Amino acid sequence: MATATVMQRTTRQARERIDVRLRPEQKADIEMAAHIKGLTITDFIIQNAVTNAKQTIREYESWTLERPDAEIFAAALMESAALGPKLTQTAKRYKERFLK
Amino acid sequence: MTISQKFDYRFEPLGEQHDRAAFSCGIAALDQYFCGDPIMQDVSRKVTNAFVLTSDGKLVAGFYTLSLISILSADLPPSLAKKLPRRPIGATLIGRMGRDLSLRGKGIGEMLLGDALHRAWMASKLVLSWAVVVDAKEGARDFYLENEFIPLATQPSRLFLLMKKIDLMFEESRSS
Repeated sequence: MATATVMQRTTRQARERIDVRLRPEQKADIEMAAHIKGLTITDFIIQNAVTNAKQTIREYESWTLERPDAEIFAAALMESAALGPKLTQTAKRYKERFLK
Repeated sequence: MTISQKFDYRFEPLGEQHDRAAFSCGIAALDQYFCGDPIMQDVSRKVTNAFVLTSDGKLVAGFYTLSLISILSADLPPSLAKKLPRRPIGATLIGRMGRDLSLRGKGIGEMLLGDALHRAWMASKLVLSWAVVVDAKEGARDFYLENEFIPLATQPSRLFLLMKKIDLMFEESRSS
């Protein structure tokens, strides 16, 4: 994935430090996993954390319609719009108070 | 906090003059976000806009944040894909919303939602937005369901309300 190659190109750029405390068994798992992937522990941690961070940001900023959600959204688009009683009331009270 | 019973609330963009520390909606994560630095950082970094409901320009009865998100379609079967816009579409996100605990049951939530939808609707007349999307934190989901938001299947906390419905709420007030 692109994220991995981007990481390797940062060699000459400014570097920052993060100190993290973790339990021995967590560290052992990370070491083992990094070994399996043939990565240094630092590279393994950075790749995983950065990929995860970007994914989290992407999920927050955009919303990808997977199959069941796409069906729900499409159904709503097809429906002719009509206001129910609660939203009608919310609109009415808001207009009386703030838009008069 | 006490806010006079007479109706004199107004909405303002969040600023340093507002007493964020005195606010509590009772949900720890939301209070930490609003009372502390995070919301001001988000506003100054232009991650989100924030609006507060206040009667004296200082005490905060409630707040909410607005930003833009895009809605993309995953790989969908053609029969379904043709019912949806082909390109990513814009939507308006109510990221967070909270009202002060002392004002429970006074319809503050309704005012906050009304203002958020009204601003989203006005903005959509300039830059198109298809829907208002919300991330409903604990306890707030029922409030949005009641106000005709539609829940998603994969992310139960995320709900949406199509702009064509919001059009119906505000259309006739356009000229006033």
